[in-house]
Amino acid sequence: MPEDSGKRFRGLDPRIVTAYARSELGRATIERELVESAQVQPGDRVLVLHDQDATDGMNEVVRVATEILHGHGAQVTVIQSDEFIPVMAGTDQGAWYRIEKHRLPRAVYEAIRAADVILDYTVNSRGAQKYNEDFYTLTMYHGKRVYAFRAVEAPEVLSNDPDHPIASPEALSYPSELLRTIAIRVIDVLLLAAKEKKPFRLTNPWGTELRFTVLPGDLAQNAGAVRRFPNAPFDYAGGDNNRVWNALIGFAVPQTCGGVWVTRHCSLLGGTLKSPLRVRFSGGFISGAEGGTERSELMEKIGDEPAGIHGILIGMNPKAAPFRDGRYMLNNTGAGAGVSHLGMGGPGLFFRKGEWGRIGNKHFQLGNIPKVSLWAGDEPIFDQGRLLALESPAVREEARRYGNPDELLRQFDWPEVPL
Amino acid sequence: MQEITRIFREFIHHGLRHPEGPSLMRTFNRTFQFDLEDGGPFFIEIKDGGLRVEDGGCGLDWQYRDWDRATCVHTSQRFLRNVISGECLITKGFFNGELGFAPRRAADPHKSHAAVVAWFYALVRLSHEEITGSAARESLSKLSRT
Repeated sequence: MPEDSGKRFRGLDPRIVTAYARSELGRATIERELVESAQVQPGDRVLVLHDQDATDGMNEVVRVATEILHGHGAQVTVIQSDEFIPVMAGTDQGAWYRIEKHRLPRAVYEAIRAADVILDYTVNSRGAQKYNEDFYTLTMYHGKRVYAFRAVEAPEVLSNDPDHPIASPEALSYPSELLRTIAIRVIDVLLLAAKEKKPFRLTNPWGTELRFTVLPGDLAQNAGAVRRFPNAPFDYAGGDNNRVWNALIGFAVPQTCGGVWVTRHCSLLGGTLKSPLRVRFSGGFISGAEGGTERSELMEKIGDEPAGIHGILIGMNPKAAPFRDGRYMLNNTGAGAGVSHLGMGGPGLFFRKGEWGRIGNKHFQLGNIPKVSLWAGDEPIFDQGRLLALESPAVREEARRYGNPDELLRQFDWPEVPL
Repeated sequence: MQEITRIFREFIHHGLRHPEGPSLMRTFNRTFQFDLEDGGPFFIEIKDGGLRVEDGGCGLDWQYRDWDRATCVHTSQRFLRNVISGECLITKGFFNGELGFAPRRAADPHKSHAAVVAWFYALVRLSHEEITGSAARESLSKLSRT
């Protein structure tokens, strides 16, 4: 059994998570995740998973979710265990370090097979369907509908005040259909560039500068990964989709990628870094790093296999400001428009530049960096963190269906974010 | 027709005899182009619930022009035989680097590629269930006649 470093998500105060679950909007958001995302139906056999020793307030989320599920006529079974996907010592939530073959207890595995819908509220559940063989088999082969860590997936929308636990209520209640519309519009532009084999460029004020190319079918995610209602067949597959308010666009494994990524956070290195880390890329793989003592730890941890880019994703929610008390949250999870994260490594074979190969089994993130600019060929998509599609007349027209377009399309202001 | 194409064609057709097979087959239209490390290429075309398995290239450009109609499956004859025989679960091969799909994210502008891969796995699962189910039924029938 691998060593576990704890069950707290991104440093969230459990009192805040508890207050969130008890708040009117928190409860409503949890219910939307169950009804619109997981699309639980009366009579469904729902299995709820959570950690035995959770210290993150998730017990209250599970209590509220269970209450809602009963109200919708579902048959609910709850399993608590200390043997789900561990957060390995020295890493942070989101890092999948040598756990691609971690086995679920047999009883849990069979309980998942017997359920119609599985709600996984364990701390490292997000991504299990892609990065752990048992979960991958359960969802992709046996067709089990697993929905992971949807209750409180972005600390940036919460506050430090238990009396007012939600910092960005307008982010949580942002119209899902409008997010879909904005994402589809952006993806159309990215798709045209990918089809024409144009290069993409991503920069930020910290010094990140990446240039890459992708196949059209490696653009992510369909409609920003926002749920469609009702679901289409196999919409549950992959684990990144069916979101209610946290929309992402971007790219999967690039065909070519070179440049530098500058970060202050890395899940493989335990989270927030002591000093900035400049990670160099060549041919889509990490070729070196500079800065601080954590540089050598990174290179040591990835030393046993190549570490290639698995995904470059950018947040789209114009209300999910990644700040608390005026400071950029290094532990944000990239929900806000103009925040980008780089996911490294992932199991399987990948096609790159005419060859099939691996990109490393260890999946981890090199932080969520602020205020990115992105170009598809010559076409700007983000400018200094500002999502340009929000200014489109067509998007504005669509926004009228959901309220005042001036309000809905006004993105949070980006201040200076020193490195 | 090369042997692996014939075997795989026979195997996947069993899925159509499964009670859920015909409706599952109609879920999507897609061509899977198999690129084998140890054999010639073959492809499976699934269209409107019908199934065609042939040697060679499907003629679609899965990388660019026809990305929204075709998926490339990189694997080996050896692995496919292990899957068909039940010695190896297809998802295990994915994690062991014996099976790859491209592209990986979007099957078309409205559908994730994970959905298409899960559908493909479901076709393999139904084929297995039908083969093992019919073998068990036949065995029990023989037993009841003795």
